[in-house]
Amino acid sequence: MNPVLDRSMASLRSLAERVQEHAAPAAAAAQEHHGEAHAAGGHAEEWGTEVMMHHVVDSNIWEFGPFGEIHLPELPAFNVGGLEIDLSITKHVLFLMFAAIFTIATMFIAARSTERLERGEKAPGGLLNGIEAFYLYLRDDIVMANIGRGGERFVPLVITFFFFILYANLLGLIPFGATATGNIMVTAALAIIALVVIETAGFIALGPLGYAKTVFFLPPGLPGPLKPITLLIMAPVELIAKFSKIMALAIRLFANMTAGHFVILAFMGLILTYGSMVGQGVFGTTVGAATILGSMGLALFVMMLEIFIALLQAYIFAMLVSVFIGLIRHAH
Amino acid sequence: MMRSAGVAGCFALAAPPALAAQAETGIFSLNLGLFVWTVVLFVLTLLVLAKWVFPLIAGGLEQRHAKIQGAIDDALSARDEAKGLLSQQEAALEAARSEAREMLENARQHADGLRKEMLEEARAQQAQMLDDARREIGHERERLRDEIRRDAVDLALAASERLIRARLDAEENRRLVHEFVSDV
Repeated sequence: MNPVLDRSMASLRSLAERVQEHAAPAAAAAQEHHGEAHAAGGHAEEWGTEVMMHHVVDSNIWEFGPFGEIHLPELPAFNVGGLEIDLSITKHVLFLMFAAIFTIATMFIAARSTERLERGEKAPGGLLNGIEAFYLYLRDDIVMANIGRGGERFVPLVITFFFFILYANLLGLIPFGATATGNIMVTAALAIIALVVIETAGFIALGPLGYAKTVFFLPPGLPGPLKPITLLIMAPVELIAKFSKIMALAIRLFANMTAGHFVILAFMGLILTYGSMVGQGVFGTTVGAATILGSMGLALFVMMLEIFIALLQAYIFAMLVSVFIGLIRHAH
Repeated sequence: MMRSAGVAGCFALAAPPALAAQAETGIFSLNLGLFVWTVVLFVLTLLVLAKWVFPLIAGGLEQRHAKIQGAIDDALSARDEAKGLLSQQEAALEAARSEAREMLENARQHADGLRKEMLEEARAQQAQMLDDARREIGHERERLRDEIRRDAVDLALAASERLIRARLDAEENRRLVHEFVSDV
């Protein structure tokens, strides 16, 4: 074995020993009292869950592992109509701010390059070409294709959705990062913004009467007596459909961004669990080393997949918002 | 990420109480503050981009579009113009060619006529000269004949004179002189 591998093995072994220190008393207790076995298992599971949850949920502390942590400013919560609102800057708020800044910065740099390009100072370069490709694709193939005539007004919204969500997704993948879009409140807020825009667009395009028809719709040629029954059944369905689309939008993004993290953390957890076998005989060392290498490989693979999913989910969100706006504007 | 997860694991081991304190904010915790923050940040981003940034990009793209379209239009019109010029040139060339052909034809005809004329003239001249020569020869022959006749008479007279002088006596000689004179 080479010295680098030796050293990493040693550090993993010490890590594993610490895991055992925590698990050993519980395991011993479990062997003594069968009845307590469940509780012990529960403890071990809780430990894994805690690490995972700790990594995924929001908090007021921004941790940098061994390099310390930053306590983010906390503000007193206040009540609005019986709802407690706490505007403290949490990790997810901070990363949303980063996403907002990165989105603006990216687009601003692209805009400046465009401007310089028009003044004939510079040939189109890498970043500008990339952003322009996204911009044109989103504008022509997503917004205009789905909304049609009059879709220009929704171009800024959809492009902002795309880049804002993309950055929020990607920022969760860097070390010490946090995935704001892995928080249901964030995705719900984005989805509700989408809902407001979709319904407003529908109202403006269809007028009050036309908009009312998106809920209270009677198919033409329906016999008189069936009308109230149809309305009674279909109006709630239509209403639910409006909100279920939006809920799906929120939950899709949230679940996708959270699930990937859990999968990666589960693989990392395998290292902590089976890594302890390293140094316990030839068999133990073999299994432990194989698990460590395999988990790292799989975690790396899932990481790559996550990068793709970050892009995909931003695209899907932008795309669906366009589709919904297009659908309601062309309803009936 | 791997490192951060691993480090998070270390952290969790080192400080379980802190972890437990944070665990109360679960994965589905309804933090309305975060909701408000998200809406505010997103709307702010959207407003900034829509007001100051997107018009620049869209304008730039539009300008470039117009520029490229203009360049294409220019190229097309230049091509049409070139095509027109080319056909014009071709027509001019064709005209020049046919003119040249015509001139050549004219020249040839003219030359033919000239040649024929000259030939006729030469022929006529030749005939004239031939005639003249013939007439001259006729005259000359007549003149010569007369001259010869005269000379012959003279010679005969001289000879006869000499003969007469020499042998005027002989009958035979007389007959010869007579014969000679009648032959001339």
